[in-house]
Amino acid sequence: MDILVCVKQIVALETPLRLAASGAALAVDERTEYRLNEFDEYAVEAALRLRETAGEAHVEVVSLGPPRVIVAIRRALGMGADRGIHLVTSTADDLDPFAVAHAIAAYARTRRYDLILTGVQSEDAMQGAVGPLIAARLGRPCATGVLAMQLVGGEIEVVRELEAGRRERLALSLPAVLTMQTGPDQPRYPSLSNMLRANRSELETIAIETLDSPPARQVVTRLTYPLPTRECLMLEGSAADKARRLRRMLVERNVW
Amino acid sequence: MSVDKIALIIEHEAGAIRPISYELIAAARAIANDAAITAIVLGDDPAGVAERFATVTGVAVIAVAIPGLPTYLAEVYLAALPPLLDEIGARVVCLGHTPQGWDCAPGLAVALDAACITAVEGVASESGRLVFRKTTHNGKIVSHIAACTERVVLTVLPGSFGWRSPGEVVAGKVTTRTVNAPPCATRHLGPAPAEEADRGLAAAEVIIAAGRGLGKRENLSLVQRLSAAIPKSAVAGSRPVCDAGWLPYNRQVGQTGAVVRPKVYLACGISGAAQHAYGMKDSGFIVAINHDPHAPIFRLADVGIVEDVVEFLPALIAEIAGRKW
Ligand SMILES: Cc1cc2nc3c(=O)[nH]c(=O)nc-3n(C[C@H](O)[C@H](O)[C@H](O)COP(=O)(O)OP(=O)(O)OC[C@H]3O[C@@H](n4cnc5c(N)ncnc54)[C@H](O)[C@@H]3O)c2cc1C
Ligand SMILES: Nc1ncnc2c1ncn2[C@@H]1O[C@H](COP(=O)(O)O)[C@@H](O)[C@H]1O
Repeated sequence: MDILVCVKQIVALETPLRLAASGAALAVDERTEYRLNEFDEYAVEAALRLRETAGEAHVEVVSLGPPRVIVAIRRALGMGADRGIHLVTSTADDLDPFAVAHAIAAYARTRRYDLILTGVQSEDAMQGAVGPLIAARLGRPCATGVLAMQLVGGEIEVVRELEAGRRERLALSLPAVLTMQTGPDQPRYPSLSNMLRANRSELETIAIETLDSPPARQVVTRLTYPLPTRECLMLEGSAADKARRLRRMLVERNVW
Repeated sequence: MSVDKIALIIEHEAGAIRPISYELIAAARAIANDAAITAIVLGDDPAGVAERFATVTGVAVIAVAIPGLPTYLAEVYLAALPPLLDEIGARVVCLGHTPQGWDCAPGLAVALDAACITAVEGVASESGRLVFRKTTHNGKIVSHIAACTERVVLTVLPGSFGWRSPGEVVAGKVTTRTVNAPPCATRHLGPAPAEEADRGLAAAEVIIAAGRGLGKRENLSLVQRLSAAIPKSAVAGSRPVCDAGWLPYNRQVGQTGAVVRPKVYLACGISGAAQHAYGMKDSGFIVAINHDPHAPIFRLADVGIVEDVVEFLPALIAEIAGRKW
């Protein structure tokens, strides 16, 4: 059982974000913090759990991006993945989802993965597109928003999330592509011994130019800040002042 | 690019048309007010849904009967739709940003050589190009995305384009055809047990919602103590709080949890991601407590409190529990 998990490194969105002079990207400098896309941590965790139950499985992680994304690959290796692949871009800008999927699919075609996992979406671009695009490029079945999976015979049975707490079950024949949703199986922390191994291990490095990139189908022309949907009154003063004012506002509004 | 033809994919279940299907019409009108719109409905027996949609909206509908199709199945949709969309000559294809739409749209875009822009909230024409607007970066940024292709597949974020019933309209034309499902590598095994929302959430007048900003499980007692001090209140949470097992899933608010509309919604350490907002944005009075002044939740709130929630909640509890109501 060979599993490929796609992981994306993103700017730490908890930190203050500024726009670049171009207006079409975030400003970054040497102090910018990056981290692994949270949904991808769940995808790595799901792959590791499948390896624990399926026995003979091999878990590889792939990330596409500039050299900094090696840190994200090493984190996944630290969690316990067996091998890392870096598809190196020569620009720091994000590629469109078709270019990302094209490169990952082109790489995956040179191997025989039974299962390809992605996160349900990236927290920065929030597209939810790369997984299903990889599946379409490879002509594989795909299920999005997967909460749980299990190998049954030669198939993978999954629970797929719908809206309002509803779920459906699907069986997909392998090889297949799944996009993973968060759930009760919390991603493990990298272990020290795995981290040491991860830092020593050689990554496979492939320049994406060698995978013949298609022309972009869509471009981000501009980033802006969201507009408020309500006028928010920011309370000032000490915490006790704010608590007092909030209580009074609730009473005045006769809210209960 | 002038868009002359737009296709919509209707969502339906057990004979009921999902509300997002109507919102797609509003999105199509925002893209090109005078474009010809064709709605497509796929299903085992879609004629009734097609008739109803055409009657209520005046939009032309193509009903594609696929014998034995139990419900949405990606491979069946991806086989049936591209030839039909070619035949219509659709320049833009609109789906809902729903579990069905986001599952289907990327594959459709590959088949049509189209761009694929998901969770679209708005559209504008800039120097002759269509530019779509969507929230990104966990709600902190809005991205404006232009398609470089002739055709575009998009998913429309529910609640973004308001649709009003046109009242009396001439029913749209309904055409029917039958196609067979292709052999599929995916089998539908039926529904899995659902997590139904806690009834207490619908009844509560005040909802105190816990987010990941509470930091650790023990701090949940803060929201519980606050709730104990407020009559007709209930405790709810964001998805990560339920994933971590601090609260059961039937307390989750959002797109994949419960949609609530209490008089007061108190968001404690919640960032305000779109999927969470989906479940609480129509609450009467929204109060947000978050230590990050740039947290998107403040854009949804009536009152904002920039504080460490773990320090602020004890002050609020003392203030509220210390007085008579
Ligand atoms: C398809 C899909 C469906 C989803 N459905 C849902 C859903 O139904 N419901 C849902 O909630 N989410 C849902 N999500 C997840 C959603 O995208 C967000 O990840 C989630 O809502 C974030 O929860 P949070 O705000 O608690 O955590 P975070 O986003 O991590 O935010 C924590 C917040 O707390 C603040 N904070 C941290 N420490 C403190 C402190 N000490 N004091 C004060 N503030 C602090 C931070 O500034 C931050 O704003 C869904 C996602 C997808 C992709
Ligand atoms: N640059 C990348 N490298 C590796 N995987 C990626 C990359 N971009 C996106 N993905 C994968 O695709 C998923 C969905 O991303 P998106 O379509 O951008 O929302 C992510 O959760 C990742 O698993």
